[in-house]
Amino acid sequence: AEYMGTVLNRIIERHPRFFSFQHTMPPKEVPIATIERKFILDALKQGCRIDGRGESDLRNINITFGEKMGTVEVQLGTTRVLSAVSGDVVAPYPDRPNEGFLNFFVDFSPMASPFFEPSARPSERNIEIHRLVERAIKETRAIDTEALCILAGSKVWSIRCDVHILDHGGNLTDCVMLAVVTSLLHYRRPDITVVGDEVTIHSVDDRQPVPLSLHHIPIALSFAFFDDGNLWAIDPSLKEELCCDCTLVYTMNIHKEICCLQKAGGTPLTIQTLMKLAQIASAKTIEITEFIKQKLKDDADSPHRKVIQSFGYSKAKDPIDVFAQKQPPAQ
Amino acid sequence: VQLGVNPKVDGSCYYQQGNTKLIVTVLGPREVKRAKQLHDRAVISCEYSTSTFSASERKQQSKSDRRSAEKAMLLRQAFEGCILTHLFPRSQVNIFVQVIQSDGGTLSCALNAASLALMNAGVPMKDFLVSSTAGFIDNIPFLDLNSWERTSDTPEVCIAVYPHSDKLGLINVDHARLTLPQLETCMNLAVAGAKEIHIMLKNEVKKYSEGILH
Repeated sequence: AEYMGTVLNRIIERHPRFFSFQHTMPPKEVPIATIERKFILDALKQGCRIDGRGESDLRNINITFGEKMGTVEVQLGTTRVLSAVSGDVVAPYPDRPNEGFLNFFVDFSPMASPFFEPSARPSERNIEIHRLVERAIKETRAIDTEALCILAGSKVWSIRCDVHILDHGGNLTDCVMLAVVTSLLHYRRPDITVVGDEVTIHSVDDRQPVPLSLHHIPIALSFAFFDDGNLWAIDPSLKEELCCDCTLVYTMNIHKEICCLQKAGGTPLTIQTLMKLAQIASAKTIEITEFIKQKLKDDADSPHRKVIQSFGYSKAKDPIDVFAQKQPPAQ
Repeated sequence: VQLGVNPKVDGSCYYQQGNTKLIVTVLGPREVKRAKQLHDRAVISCEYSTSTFSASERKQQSKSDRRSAEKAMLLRQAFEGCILTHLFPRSQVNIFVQVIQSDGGTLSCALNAASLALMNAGVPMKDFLVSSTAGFIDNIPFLDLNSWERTSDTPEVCIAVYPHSDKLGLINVDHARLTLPQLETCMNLAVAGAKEIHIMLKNEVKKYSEGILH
């Protein structure tokens, strides 16, 4: 069936006049209208953003936990990202017998935006976000892959984090990072005991599953620049992102350490601006980390979660709402 | 540095910094397919390719591999802000980087080499974008780390600076857990290093131009 599908697609592509109802190519990304762009820039020059926020105000964050430990849906304004962590016991690479695996997969499905193409080749934006997440978590040793080793040379944990972008409302980087980090904190892996060469993996009923050990929690914060670098705004919405000159992403943790800093795009910036924004970013990082920790604690204490832990299942209490944007808690 | 190593392309440069050697070729501004055209400016595209023999272990790394694609994207975005693209609507400028030997700081060397190659091709730019790296080893800042010094936990800051205005066109922090004062020290050190490179490269370009005239 798959093969027939590709053959039919090829026929349709080659004879567009006969199959004009079929749109195999997604619409090209429409640049923002000049009048709208002018309006956004003029508003920013007067000190206000089109959604009424201040220049260092984030949109509301809402975190929903799924039934399975490690499934998290994060909403940052209208941007929604779903992240699911799963673990498996596998054999390590022979040349690296002490290292486990930690893999991320970021999926840009056309569900999120009509301008995302369903192609197998990762687009530039896909690569950018994927690399940022990898650098912030793997390369700064937030999760040490050597800590994922069970029995050197034969058994290691392979942790896999699947991220699905559900809705693109601007600033995917921050939302994806938030979702990944929250789901890694939420995930519980089965407990294991190693006696000599024998490894016993305890089922969820026998022993409480254990969390992954994260050494630090990296949080990403994006700044968009307008008007040749004179104006900036944190957490750009979709329209602001489309008319900005460049974006700057700070990935920091609660200890005021920079895990990753990336400037994408043309406008040159001074070191003073960078350091000033770094201070703002570090203050926001602390707020967001406290918020995540509070949410995780609320979930662990909630009676819903306790029911799942004792019985293994529960009638879903808060099904993930597709249409309504839930009223978020105060930030 | 050797400019104009490839006579068949518009601009090329062989760049060697310590043991890191690479060749950058530039094609453009030239025509581009209708689908990829931009109505008001030129499209900059960049390809970053590492030879299999470039590192200490033989490794086949494809051009669309995530790390190469990321470096190509960083180069492209840095030059998009530097090249005067509004002078060439509906055309493209291609930058091809080929790393022959890699010993640390390849992104920064590629950026310097690409600046020179663009100059060789005669592509108008706002300023001479130069780049340098700096890192921390045992809480001491070091300039221009090589691959031995870049063992896994060393933070590395790679910046590209416009020398006449002291503004940064690219910042990339890797493998890091740097505190803010450490970051500032690193950036200042890298900017100072880049300015020294700027003086050296400017002299090279002058020598090459004089060589053409004679």
